[in-house]
Amino acid sequence: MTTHQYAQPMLPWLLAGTLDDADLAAVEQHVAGCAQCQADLAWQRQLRAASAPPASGCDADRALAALLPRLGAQAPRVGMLARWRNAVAANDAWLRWAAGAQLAVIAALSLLLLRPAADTDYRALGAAPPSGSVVVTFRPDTPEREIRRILQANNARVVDGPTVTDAYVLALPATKTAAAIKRLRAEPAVTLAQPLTAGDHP
Amino acid sequence: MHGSVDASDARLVGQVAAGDRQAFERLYRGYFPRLTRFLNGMTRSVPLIEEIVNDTMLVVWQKAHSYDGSCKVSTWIFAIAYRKACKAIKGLDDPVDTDPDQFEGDICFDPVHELDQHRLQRAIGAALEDLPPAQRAVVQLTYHHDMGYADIAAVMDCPVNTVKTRMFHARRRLRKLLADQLEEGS
Ligand SMILES: [Zn+2]
Repeated sequence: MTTHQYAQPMLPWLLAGTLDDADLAAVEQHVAGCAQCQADLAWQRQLRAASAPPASGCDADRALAALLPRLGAQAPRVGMLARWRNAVAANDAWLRWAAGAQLAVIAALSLLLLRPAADTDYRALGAAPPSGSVVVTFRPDTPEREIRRILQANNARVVDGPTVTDAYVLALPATKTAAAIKRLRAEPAVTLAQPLTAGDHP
Repeated sequence: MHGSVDASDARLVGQVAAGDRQAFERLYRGYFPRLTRFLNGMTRSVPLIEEIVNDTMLVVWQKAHSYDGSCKVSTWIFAIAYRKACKAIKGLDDPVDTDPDQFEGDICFDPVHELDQHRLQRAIGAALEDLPPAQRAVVQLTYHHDMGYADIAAVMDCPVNTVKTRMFHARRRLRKLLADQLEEGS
């Protein structure tokens, strides 16, 4: 096999920068002295630059909203408490993410947390939420600092969320949950505040 | 080459395996643009692309526990997407068995010498669509998803030589189809 026959098929990956070190050294060395491979590379460079697929008009929010109900029926069997522990452990990461996330409350909230069936669901998973847990959603245009102010005013800690519907699970001081929910519901920015604790449903 | 990205991807897959929906959403949003770009090269239908992405990510949700780290997360997810796409666009030719010359003369471009970039892109898009889907996939994964031939072989579940052969046929075919549009290097 000549070097040209070895190098020629590799040119696309030389151009894309994905050859491993051994290939790279051999192919580069050949190309340096081969006018035909150089011409081929120049041609491929034009092709690559002009062939980037156009934007498709796909919408991540729309597609994800269509997918989420399908997850529910087939979710891995993991208790809510375990999920919350994970969420708290990953707190920093998701807070940074949440700050950048678009706040858009979608009516499909019921699909995720509040539907009575879903409620039954996670009790069937064996973990009752801790007392003082509340699901809250905010108006889509609520600034992050306003959300923070509301949380601080109520001694609330975020333990999960935002979900795709921008619902947050808050931990509130257990003895003052009812009063805090009242205050939360009185906030203009809060569109929904609902206790999660078993037996605490209105 | 995307070492840190892949490490955080792998961590997300681990969280998804534990049923973490937030991790799943992050993984979904992270891969959505890449998968739609890839699938857009395979099929031009927006609803179909979103459906294939969702079928793909549903498998990721269900099978996250079976991901063993033996390949990159991106390779694993693209492999699922490629299989879903093949299924969705049925009648996938195996380009290794396809004589690339059988398409000779199917498409004839007007010999326009002063194409602007937009028209050039359209011409290339049309030429790419003329390729068998498996060749199209190799071109896309090579040029636009920074995958090496070994990764592509893993995605397409075929030997490395098949990847090189598909790319070789694709280049030859594109060179013919685009003879009027792209200057030969000199
Ligand atoms: Zn050469």
